[in-house]
Amino acid sequence: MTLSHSIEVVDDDGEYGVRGYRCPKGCAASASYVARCPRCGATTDQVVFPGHGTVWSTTVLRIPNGEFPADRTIAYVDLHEGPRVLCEMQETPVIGQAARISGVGIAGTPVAVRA
Amino acid sequence: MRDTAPVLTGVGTSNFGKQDYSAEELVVQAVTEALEAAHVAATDLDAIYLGTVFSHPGTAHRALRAAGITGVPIVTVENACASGTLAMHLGAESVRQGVHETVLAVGVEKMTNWIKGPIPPDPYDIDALSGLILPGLYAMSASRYQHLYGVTPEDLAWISVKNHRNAIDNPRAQYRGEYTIDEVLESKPIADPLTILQCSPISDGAGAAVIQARGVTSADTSRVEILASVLESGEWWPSLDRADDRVWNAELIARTTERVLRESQVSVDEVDVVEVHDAFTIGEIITIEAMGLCPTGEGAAFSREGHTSRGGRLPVNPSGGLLSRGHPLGATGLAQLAELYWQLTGQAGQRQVPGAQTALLETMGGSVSGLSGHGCVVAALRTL
Repeated sequence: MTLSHSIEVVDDDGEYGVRGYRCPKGCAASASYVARCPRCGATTDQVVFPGHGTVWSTTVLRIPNGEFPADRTIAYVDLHEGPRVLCEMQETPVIGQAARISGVGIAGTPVAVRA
Repeated sequence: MRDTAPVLTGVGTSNFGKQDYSAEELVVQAVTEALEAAHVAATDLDAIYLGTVFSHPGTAHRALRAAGITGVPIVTVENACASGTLAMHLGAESVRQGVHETVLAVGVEKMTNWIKGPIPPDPYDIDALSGLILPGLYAMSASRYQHLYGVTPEDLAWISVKNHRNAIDNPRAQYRGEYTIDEVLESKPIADPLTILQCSPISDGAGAAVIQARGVTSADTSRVEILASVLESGEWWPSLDRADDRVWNAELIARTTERVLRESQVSVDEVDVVEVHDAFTIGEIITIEAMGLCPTGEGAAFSREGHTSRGGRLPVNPSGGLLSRGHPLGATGLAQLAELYWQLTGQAGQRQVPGAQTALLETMGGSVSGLSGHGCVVAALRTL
């Protein structure tokens, strides 16, 4: 299997989630590749995390970066029972408020809106 | 039994900023000054530890050859922004453990001829692939601090004002100028709430330090003992314990500093001067809190009250810091170390913190998603 380094958004009939890895004992969750749990050493399971969470923090990137244009709003969203994932925001996010993944943006980045 | 405590006996640096010098020339400038200050010849060196991030393979050997140093074991290390500090740490530990008597730590980076804009992140990092750049990551820490602790844009800008003001007295600094809070806030926006005067610049530069076992040093030389130095690497971030939800880097800096203070038996109350990794203004606030220099959530107020200014009770970044001196990644740790050596030996000129005897050095490296940082090195130093 060739490892994908990019985040992978999964569309299940309009319910979006993020593919990732989870410790079977629930210690850790990650959107990026991790073979073993850093706490208990268990082999991780590949799972799809539901795309609902809480905005941890946000910024607007004012300079372009490769294929990503200037004035792009991004946020870290803590998925419930899942990892912290970087999302593109379609609306101005508020830290601590609920958000959900609603689609896929540039380079496969999750797009999120207020829930 | 020989006294193997590691002691700094000389330091040197190039100027910092955009310049036409090659990596070789920058290293020659720094190494020549350090060896002359320490009264050490190239033939006295037992080993060299060199930190760099983006240099081509072979740069260390080519640059040291240019400095007249051949036939000596050379170890090249990479630890992101803390590469130079890691070189210092490894050199100091090799002396402390009796492996070597005299070593040279070097850091170098040549950036301005190929990097435009932010430092390129790891192209295989999951968040970098979604367009995250380091200013954005620090900006999200700043936004989080605004949310949690009421830190204001003016609080952030004050760090830039302070450090640029400090750099006015540093002839080697990249940017030396007096700015107002309004000028900082009105400078080019990079990642809200950070503006360009709150971001360290792309730089060229080199630094070097001679580290010797105390038993072979002379009291005629200006000496600073490395009481302890520690390297730690990042933990899972955000913490597996979701209740311990600190911003990026804070956990790693705190853990590294706690170990240094324990091993050196230095209390923060004894510290006279500090050089920390202010790659961005929010970084200095987070760092002084994580190091225990002030309570969590109070770093911004602590700074604006003047405690971290030159003349304050705990001056932070009297050199001007990364924000003003510049940030040539591999050289930064050695530039910080050089500043503290000069401070602790009374050679800091107009920047001198009166009576400085004890210092802390902190460099934070990292761009890896999912970790509290890449690697952090902290050292405790004291005049001998």
